[in-house]
Amino acid sequence: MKENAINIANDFSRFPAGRYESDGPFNGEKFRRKILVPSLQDGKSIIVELDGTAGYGSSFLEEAFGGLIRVEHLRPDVVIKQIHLKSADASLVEEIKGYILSAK
Amino acid sequence: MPSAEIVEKFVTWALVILGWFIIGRDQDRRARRTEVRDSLKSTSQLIIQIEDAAQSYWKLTGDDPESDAAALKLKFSLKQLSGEVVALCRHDVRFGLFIPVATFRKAATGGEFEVKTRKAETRNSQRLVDICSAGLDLREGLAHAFNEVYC
Repeated sequence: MKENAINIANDFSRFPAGRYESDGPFNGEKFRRKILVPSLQDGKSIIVELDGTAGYGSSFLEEAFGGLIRVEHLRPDVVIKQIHLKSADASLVEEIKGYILSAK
Repeated sequence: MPSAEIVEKFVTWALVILGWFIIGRDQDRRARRTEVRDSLKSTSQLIIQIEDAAQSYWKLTGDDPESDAAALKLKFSLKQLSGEVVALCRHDVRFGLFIPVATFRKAATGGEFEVKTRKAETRNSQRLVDICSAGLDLREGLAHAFNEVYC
């Protein structure tokens, strides 16, 4: 994995699916705990590349990114500054930002 | 000093060239309009297919053997839809309805999507209504953008 850059298709799975650990091997909870949280430690900024997968369910996205606030208790304004989302699909970026900013 | 005859010829040719330019521009615009209208028709059909696929998916339980394949197909179709909206946006930014696309994806694949313990939705449940509503909003938004750009 390149430093400060996460490519979901290469570093996690081309077939991300499910919300919880019980939903399959490449679920949102696992992505958050194993990939996102360690990458965000020490206030580091990261680029998250979303393209290259077979598509995302909103449940995966909400659990992975909204869970940073809801479960990991990180501050939304800090997370928004630390994570730079990269995708040809602007709707994905908008959706994820919405989860980060509205999660409670 | 150019004679009146030369000026008259120059004006005639200038008008001819201007006419060619205007006709060419109108033909380009008509061709682009037809191309975008066809793309829009195909995108609207895709939205309806996704609505149907999402309705079918949510009527299954999370542990149904067909559930995983239906979910994967749904996600892939939504990715295709995003790609089509991005392509339409290249014609005009007014087609860039990324928030309605995200709302549609959220309605179709949010909540307990791909959660194994999920129960099947009943007919006319709020989830199924939300999927129809978000799909309709997106189709209407695209039609509105087309009218704004080309009518």
